Amino acid sequence: MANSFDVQVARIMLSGTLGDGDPFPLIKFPSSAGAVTILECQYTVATAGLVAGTGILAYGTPVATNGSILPLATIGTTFGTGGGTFPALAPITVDLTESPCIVPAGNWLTFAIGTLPDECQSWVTLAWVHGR
Amino acid sequence: MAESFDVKTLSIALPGTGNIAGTGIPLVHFPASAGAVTILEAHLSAATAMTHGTTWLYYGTPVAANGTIVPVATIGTAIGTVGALSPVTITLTASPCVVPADRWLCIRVQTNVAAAAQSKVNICYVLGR
Repeated sequence: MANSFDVQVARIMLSGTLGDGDPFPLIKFPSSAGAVTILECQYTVATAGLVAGTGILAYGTPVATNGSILPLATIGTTFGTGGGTFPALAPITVDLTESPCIVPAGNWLTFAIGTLPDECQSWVTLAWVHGR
Repeated sequence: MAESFDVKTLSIALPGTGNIAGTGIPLVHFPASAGAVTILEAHLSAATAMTHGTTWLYYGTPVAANGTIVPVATIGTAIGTVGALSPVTITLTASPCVVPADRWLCIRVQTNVAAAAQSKVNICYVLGR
């Protein structure tokens, strides 16, 4: 029997030119929809042997109209092996640091990671439910 | 308290070679069997700061079987340079912003954008109107 009802899932590609540690806007949870609770998050790279560093899942709001996203709270982290190297096509769990892992309405969910060459072709997978 | 129930969210990467002035990029097709949807919010972002010019969000139907999408109605616009990792709000021009069933949601930008832009569209919507 399912423990969660009406679970939403998403798979979001990250751009290769993502700068060191800059939060990449994944999705926005609109103000009218209320908070969401993240159930799971994973990070996967297509090419092995690329040092990506530490991954940080956070949420935040734009610094200004049409501006970059200022993280308000970190809600998950992940680490590679041997200095942050991620194996190819092997989803690495992003450890959620809150329980329940709630993202308030009107916030962008972001993912930041270190050096990431174009050929890395990485993505984030998510599962969440509406409400808290 | 939430005003909208069961909101869907999408993040759709755009092909660098598809960001060509005057050419619509099909984002997602809302099936005929599911009824209309209502767009709540839309954003355009890019990995590399780049001028996209005027951007149109619209829905339409294929010009022919397996053909390109002919715009039926524009439902949103955005203007200007898209900063790196800085989502630009696409202003919805209809309220409520309804997309009828069996339509393709598309985006078109005014200015050619290099592949390095690695731009994407974020959509929030609910089923129904």
